[in-house]
Amino acid sequence: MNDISDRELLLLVEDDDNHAELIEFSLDECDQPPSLYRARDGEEALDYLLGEHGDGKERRPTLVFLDLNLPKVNGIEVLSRVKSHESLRSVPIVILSTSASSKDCQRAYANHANAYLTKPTDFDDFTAMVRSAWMFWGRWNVSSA
Amino acid sequence: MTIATTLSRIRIGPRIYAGFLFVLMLVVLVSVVAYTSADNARGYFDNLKTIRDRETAILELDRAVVTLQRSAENYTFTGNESVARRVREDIQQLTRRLGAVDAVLAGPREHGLLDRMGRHFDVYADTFANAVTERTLRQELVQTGFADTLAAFSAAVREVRQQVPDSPTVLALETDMRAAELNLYRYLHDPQYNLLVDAKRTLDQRIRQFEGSAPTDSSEAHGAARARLVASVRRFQREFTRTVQATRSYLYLIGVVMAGEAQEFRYVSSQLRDAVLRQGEPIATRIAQATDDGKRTATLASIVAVLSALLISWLIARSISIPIAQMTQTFEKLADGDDDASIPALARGDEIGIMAQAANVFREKNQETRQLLRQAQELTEKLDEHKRELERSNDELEQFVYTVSHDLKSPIVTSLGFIGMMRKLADRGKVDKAMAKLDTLERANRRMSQLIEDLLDLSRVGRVDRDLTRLDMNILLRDLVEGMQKKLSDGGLRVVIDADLPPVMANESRVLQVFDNLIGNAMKYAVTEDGGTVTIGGAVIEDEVRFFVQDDGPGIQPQFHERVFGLFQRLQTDKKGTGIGLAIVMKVMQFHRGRVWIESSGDGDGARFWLAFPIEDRRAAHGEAA
Repeated sequence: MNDISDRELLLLVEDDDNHAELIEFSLDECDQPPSLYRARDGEEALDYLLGEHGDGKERRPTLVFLDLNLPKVNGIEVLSRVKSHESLRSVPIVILSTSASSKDCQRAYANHANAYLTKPTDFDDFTAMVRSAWMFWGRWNVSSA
Repeated sequence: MTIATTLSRIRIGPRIYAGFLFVLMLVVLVSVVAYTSADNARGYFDNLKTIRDRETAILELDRAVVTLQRSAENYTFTGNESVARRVREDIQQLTRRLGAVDAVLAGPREHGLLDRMGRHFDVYADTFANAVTERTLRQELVQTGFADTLAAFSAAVREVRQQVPDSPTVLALETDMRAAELNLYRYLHDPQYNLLVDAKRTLDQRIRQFEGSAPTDSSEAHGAARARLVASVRRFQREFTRTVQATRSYLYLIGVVMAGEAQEFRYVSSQLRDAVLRQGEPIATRIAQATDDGKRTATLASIVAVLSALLISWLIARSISIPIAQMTQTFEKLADGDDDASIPALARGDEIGIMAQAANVFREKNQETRQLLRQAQELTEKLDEHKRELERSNDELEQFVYTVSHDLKSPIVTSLGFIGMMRKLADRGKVDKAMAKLDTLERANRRMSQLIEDLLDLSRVGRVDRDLTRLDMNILLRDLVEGMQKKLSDGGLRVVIDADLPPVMANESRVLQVFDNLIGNAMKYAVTEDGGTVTIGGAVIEDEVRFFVQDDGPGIQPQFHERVFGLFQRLQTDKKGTGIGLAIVMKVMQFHRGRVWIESSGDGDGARFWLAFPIEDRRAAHGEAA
């Protein structure tokens, strides 16, 4: 657990550096913060998960935080690609979006997102939400496994 | 087709009546022809009847003569005066009849024949008169002469017997005398002459024997008595002869002469009848001729009448049915909504012409209806277009609101989040670390401010500053680039403007905004470490004034060519920019009813942004739409 390589991995797909920093900050407050891999756009995220442009190896993070509004390949497409992938579909994906639009929410669930969370503007709410999302979908998931 | 033309001017009712009138006239004509020939035949028949009447009259003459002859023969036997009288009356009547027939006869031959008949009849009548005389004479002889003579003979015989009784000679004479008398009567009853001849001869011998015998008594008285006896016998002989003569005479007259005349009369009358009948022959021929003629004429007239009636009916029926059929067809076409069906018979003066005018009105109505329908369709299309535009605009607005709310919320999340973070860091005494976050906080707020400004810009397009003017692009772009010179040299971008750019009808400030945005974009995305160059050119191509802004940067991959014009769409997040610039360019071009597109492979050979303004007079349409 103390070995960094043994820590659970969280894939953060987020184009906004500031938001990424906020999420990272929130997670750092946890008892056992996960190791974080940051992808800046959908393409990068898919590269990481499927190993398309790299070593060709699939990677199974414990959890994926996925923003929807991404350059190049948008979040919904990343979601649908992963959820239609045979071995990766079990990786839980939590959508973290600024949008509170029901349309986005519906689209996300239609593509088998595990959860749809809207980023709160309040800092305390934000950190609490990020932490509980990690705890619920990441930590507890792993522990039970 | 002059008949058809003439017919087409007459109304249908009068046309039909005229046709009927014509047929009626034909019927009357045929009737007149038939009547005339019948009348003609009737005249001939009258003639024939006259001839038959004459023949009958002649036949009656014949019959009368036969009857007359029978009466005359009857008279021969009876000698009755009343019969003679009746015969005479008949003769008179027949004479009158002859006169009557003579009056009605025609032709000299016929008159000649009748004259011959008359002559024969005259002879007949005269002969009858002679016969009556002879008959009367004999009657007298028989009734009175014989009686006297026989009485004298009886007296002489008695006298002689007184003187010489039982004289055988006298007895024989007496016997012969009686025989002669008997034979005479027998003759009178039935004129068998041979009996008479014997009786006469015997009597003649006896009287001569008597005369020759010597008288037994030579007395005077006896002599005288003998003489008287002889005289009475001689007288008887004379009367006997005379009676026979008279009998033979009237028998001859009636039985030969009159019968012959009657025969002759009848022979001539038969000739006359023949002649009269021969007169009838040509009439009969003429009747046959006239009948044939009449038949032929009537048949011909009937055929002509029937054919003419058929022709007239056909013409009239055609003159009505054909245009009506055509009109029906036209009306069917018109009823189907055809508005350019050709209408026949418009020039006609009859009801069909009126119908044609009605059809014309119908057609005009159809045309109007079609016109209205077209207008309605156009309106509907326009309405649909407006609706689509409205829907698109609605969608755009929704998208806009969504995007704006999302993208505006993002820096707020950052700001509030960072403020929270700073507070936490400060609480923990990490003031420096907290202070370091201030820059990010400021950037987030600036970005929010920039977003709001850009959005305002975007919302101004097409809303404020709408005037179109003729822009000299050479001057306009030169001034723009001169004004940007400092920014450009800072960004390492060189701008080259081609000479002789075509002028364009557009809104000056919007066009400047477009070029400013495109040059700004090139500065953000196309400038490499070695700097960059933007080339601006333009030409009139087809019906558009086209300009291009060409950079020599990395270019844009084709799949992103459309997406980059969307609101808040950025291909790279590390470059600063709000993602509104190209959306403004798109909106400005839409406002000008023009187009914008990208030419780039994305393989490092730069990108060419094309701007196309329509030349054709869309300004009016645009002004209307605005």
